[in-house]
This record gives sequence, structure tokens and C-alpha cells, in this order.
Amino acid sequence: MDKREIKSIIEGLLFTFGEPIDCNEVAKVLGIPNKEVLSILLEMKDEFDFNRRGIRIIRFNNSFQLGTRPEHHEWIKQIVQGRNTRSLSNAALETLSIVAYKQPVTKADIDHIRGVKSDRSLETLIGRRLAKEVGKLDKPGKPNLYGTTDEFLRYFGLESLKELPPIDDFRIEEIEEE
Amino acid sequence: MSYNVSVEVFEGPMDLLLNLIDKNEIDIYDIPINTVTDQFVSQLRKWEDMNLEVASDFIIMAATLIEIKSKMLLPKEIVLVDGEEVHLDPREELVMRLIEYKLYKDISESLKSSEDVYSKVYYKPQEDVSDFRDPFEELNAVQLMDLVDTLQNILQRHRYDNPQENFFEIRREEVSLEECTRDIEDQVKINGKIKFSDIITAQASRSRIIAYFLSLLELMRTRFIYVRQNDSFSDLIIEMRGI
Repeated sequence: MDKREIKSIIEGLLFTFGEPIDCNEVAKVLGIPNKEVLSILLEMKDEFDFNRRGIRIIRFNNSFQLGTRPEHHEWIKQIVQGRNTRSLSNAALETLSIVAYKQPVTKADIDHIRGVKSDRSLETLIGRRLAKEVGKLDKPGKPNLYGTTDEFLRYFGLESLKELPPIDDFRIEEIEEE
Repeated sequence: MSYNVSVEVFEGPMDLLLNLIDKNEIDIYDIPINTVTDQFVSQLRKWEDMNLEVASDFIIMAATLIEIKSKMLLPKEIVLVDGEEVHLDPREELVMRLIEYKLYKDISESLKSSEDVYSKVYYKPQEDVSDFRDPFEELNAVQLMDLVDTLQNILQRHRYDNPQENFFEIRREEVSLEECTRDIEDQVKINGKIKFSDIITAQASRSRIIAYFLSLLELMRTRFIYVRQNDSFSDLIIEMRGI
């Protein structure tokens, strides 16, 4: 199978699957080594961007998915009415910031930083699959530890957690302000 | 006649405190604790006058501020750090907490702008390919002997070959909601879309059906799934909820 054909098959797979598909899964279907599939997928992603296709290949961690370009929203929204885009409340965003940068983190730590109880916002985040329980802290009471999900990456357009801006960037900003 | 009511919204006492610091253009490392405490407390009073319930978190913060204020009146505590005398500032802990809170507040604003951009992306739901599957595919590999074996297994399990043991104790069936919920979750995760009748086997007892139905309501409440029904009394179609 030549590369062109492989790319073509992968495009069909991504279209049919709709949901994020793991690179390993694609490799299994095609019977090609994982590494090769990954490099082809990354190449395809660049090609889609280079050719300014209306469909983009979105990557997060090891998963790939087709999606539209955010800058086309203005036009797309005119044909898809009533889409439910509830954005997150400030409280939920604050909580999520702490979860993202301090994970794994307990609810008590989050409450301490925010100075208020964060039960409700944490519940919202888990309900929207942006955060999840990732284990328990080995301390009295065995409190739950929370972390972010793949959905979190997709939601904020990140490829991996490494893409989060380093926390020091925000600290520097503060010093500049003064 | 119309009323214009504007109430500033604060995410908590830390948020209010930061707001006061911003408003007064105060150096966060050198907070004039008198001014800030007065303003903080008068804000709480204002809320009380408006008949708003003041959350206990705000009252704790007010108490902390007053405690710091009173400590400021006392001579500074001196501790030795590496042989050097260091004056303890009673404000230090609060300042550290404020700086940390401000950090995450700033981060949350940056997340907010990413959210604004990426909520404008559209995805396609998974294709439903169940129509293209051969319903008898699973049976292709079945041989006659398999049927014989299976029948024998069933007979053995029901002990028809031994009339002596043809007595059973009838137990009350225990159905746990957790078990049913997990079952639905698993099935939805695997198949994406299922029918309620798929979950309920023909032998399911009434209590089991009720347990499944309660689990279904619970999963709808936690927004894991949504359920639709095309006509009255028709089958319930259960789908995993997309975000």
C-alpha cells in the first residue's frame, strides 16, 4: 500500500469514527507499525492546515479527530441552530485551573486556594468530563485526587498537558504589571 | 418604571479582597490592613442591608483580617532564621494566599479565552454502522456439537438428570442500583446507543427492571446519557451524552 492510499484510508476512518480515535487503533486496523501511523497522521494534519481545508485534524495526546475550524464558526452557526454551548462559570474555570496545574490535587487544596467550597464546580467539571478522580491520597480519610481528562485537552484546544502555558508565565506577568 | 440593580459578583472572599486591593491601587506586598479590613467589613454590612445572606467564608475572612489587624498593633515577633533575626509580618500568610489565588484567577481567564475559541469547533458524531452488520455473523462458526454441548450444560445446571436434587431454595433476588448503573454505563460506552429492551432480559424480575429504570433516571440526572422515546409505550433509546 502506498502512502497516498494509507492517508486516504485514514481519512475515511476518521470521518466514520467521528469521535477521537487512538493512533494505536488506526495502526491495528491498517496493520502498520504505530510509529509510522503517527508520523503519517501528523503529516496529514499539516497538509490539512497547509491547504486551508475546512476540516482540521485535531490531536490530543495520542488521539485524533476531525473538526471544523473555529474561525468558520460565523458561517457554520447559521446552519446549525440551537446548539447548546454553555460556557463554564468563573467558579468552574477557577477550579479547573487549579486542577490542571496542581494535579493530582484534593478538593481540600482547591478549597484552600479559592477560599470557598468548590464542591459544586467540581461536580460540574466531572459531569462535563473535564476532570475526573485519578486516585486517592494516602493520608487519613483517603481523600480523592482529581486530574484533567482528554476531553479537557480537546475543550481547550491543547495537544497535551505540556502545551499548557508554564505557570511561571503568569507569575512574570504579575511582576511586569507592578 | 424600571429598576436597575447591579450587584458585583465575587467568587469568594479572596476575590473580594483582590478587588479591594485593585480598587485602592494597593501594593499587594504592603497591604494597609486597616483600610482593607474596614472596606471588607462595610461590604459585608452592605450585603446584609440588602438582605443578602453573607456566606460563612466571607465571615471567616473578616475574622482573619481583624486578627491580623490586632496582631499588627503588637510588637513584631522575632524569630531566628539561619542565625539572623527576622521580623514576622502577620500579613505574610494572607499575602501568599492572595498571590496564589490571583495566579489561578489569571490562569482561569486565559482558559476562558481558549474556551471561547474552541467552543466554535464542530465535531461529527460517530457513524451508526449497526445497520451494516450481519445479524447472523456470530452464528457462522457454530457447529452441531456446540449445540449438543450447550444443551447438556443447561440440563446439568438444572439437574434434570437427578430428580433427587430437583428441589430449590427460592431466594429473594438482590438487585443493587450500583450494579445496574455500572451495567448501563458499560453497555452505553461500548455500543454508544442501546435500547432499554436490550438491557432487560426476558427473565428479568420486576425488581430488576425497576432497578434498571431507576439507574437510567440517575444517569440522566448526572448527564451521562440522554434518553428518547419516539412514540408512547415504544422502546427507550439510550445514548451517551456528547459534550
